[in-house]
Amino acid sequence: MAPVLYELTPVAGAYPCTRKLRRAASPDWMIACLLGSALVAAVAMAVPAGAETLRVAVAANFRSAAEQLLRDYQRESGVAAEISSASTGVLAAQILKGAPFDVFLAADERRPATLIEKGFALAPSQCYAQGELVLLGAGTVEALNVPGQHRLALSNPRTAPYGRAAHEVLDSLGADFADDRLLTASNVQQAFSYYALGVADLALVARALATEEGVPVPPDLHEPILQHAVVVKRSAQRERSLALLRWLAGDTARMTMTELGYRACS
Amino acid sequence: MLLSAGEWQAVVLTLELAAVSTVILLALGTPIALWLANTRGSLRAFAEAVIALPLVLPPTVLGFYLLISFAPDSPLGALWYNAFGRDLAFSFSALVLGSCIYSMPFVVQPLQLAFASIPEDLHSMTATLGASPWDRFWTLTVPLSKRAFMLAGALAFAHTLGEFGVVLMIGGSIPGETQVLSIALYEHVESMNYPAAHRLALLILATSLILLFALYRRDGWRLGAKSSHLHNQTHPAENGHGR
Repeated sequence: MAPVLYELTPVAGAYPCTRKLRRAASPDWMIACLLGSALVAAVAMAVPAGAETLRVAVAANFRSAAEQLLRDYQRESGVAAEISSASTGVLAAQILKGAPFDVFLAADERRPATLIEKGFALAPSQCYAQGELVLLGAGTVEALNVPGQHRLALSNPRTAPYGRAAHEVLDSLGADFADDRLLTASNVQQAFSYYALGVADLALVARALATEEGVPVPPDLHEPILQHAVVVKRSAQRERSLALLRWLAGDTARMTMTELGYRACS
Repeated sequence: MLLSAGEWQAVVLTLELAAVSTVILLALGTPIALWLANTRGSLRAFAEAVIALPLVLPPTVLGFYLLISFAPDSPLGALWYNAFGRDLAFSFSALVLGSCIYSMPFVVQPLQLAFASIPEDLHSMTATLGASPWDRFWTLTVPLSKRAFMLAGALAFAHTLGEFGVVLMIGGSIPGETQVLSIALYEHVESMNYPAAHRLALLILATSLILLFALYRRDGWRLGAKSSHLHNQTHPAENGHGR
């Protein structure tokens, strides 16, 4: 069944171009568009983007801090980094499924420990910051004791360390919020946006995220939020990743983090 | 429109994804549609049901199974790693595979309708004249289904532009690799960067509207060639749009 070559008509695009006048919306024009973008795609794919760039998975609470820190780092070292942010639990799950990150800046020490244990990250993990929890929308933490009058935004305790800490605070205070009085966001950034949009009138979130003062939650009401960083084992840029972790432990980075609302690890 | 470097990256990535997926979808969808148009019985019904599944399934169902099968510890993930030396999950390739499954009904259904609407007589006639099935495909089926091919291509392209749930689950949000426009927009909304969110949302809205308008504006996007007068079928998506 050899094809009769002169009769081979390529799919649609090359078909009667001569027919009538062609309008902007003519099929041929659209096919040209498709082929054009396929060409763009092919060219863009031929140039491997960012082999030099570090891919950093950042817990949602630390996103804007990381943006600033990594900008500083690039100025100092020339190493560029790109950020992907989500809740710590989501990012850890992505790494377990093979996500191509080099460095993971988590919001707890549990997830990095799990990754190391399962062979997905290099030991040891390093505490880079200690997070602080603030209550927004009230003058004192006591406000949490009258749950009936408020809607409280917090993040999902199963995936977000700040959400877990928030629930510990509620437990310590014996504050018993009904389910419909709790707005559970998928990460702490989203929890803050619920508050900022006015959907919730209270929020327990990371101090670093809050654009207003808020009430610091006494640290004895929850386990300390020790944010650990690890280098992902599959990273092809181990040395650069380790260098970034060392830099995060240095004075410049620490000073920036203090300004942004984090404490030194204790 | 002033976009940041990261947003441009998302634009390029989205166009790449849509273009690559569309080309692959047309190449894969055509034989599938041909087979469906020429098959009867419950096997066809079953195949049609499988292909139509993405229309009704929540993207999370598809995303979950794809994530499981793309993971490095899965057979497919391991095979991919051995073949290409890269992980499949959370890569651009994973998005292309996911999009191909997700947008398949938009390609197969119009093509199948068009192929089925070509009278059997024409096939037997040209066969009597000595045309091989291959010849008949290129000289009969393709020209008569030209519009269906365009409709399928445009819908596949547009639908891939609008993907979100599957991408989020199997791609996450890695700039330059899996962070397409819809995901970049989601991140802007999450971090309350509403001006940037508005820019991207408007861009996607306008692009999709223009693409669909161009598609429907054509006088009667009927399946098969208009001049052939062979059919009176229209695709469900275009009822009432002929001028």
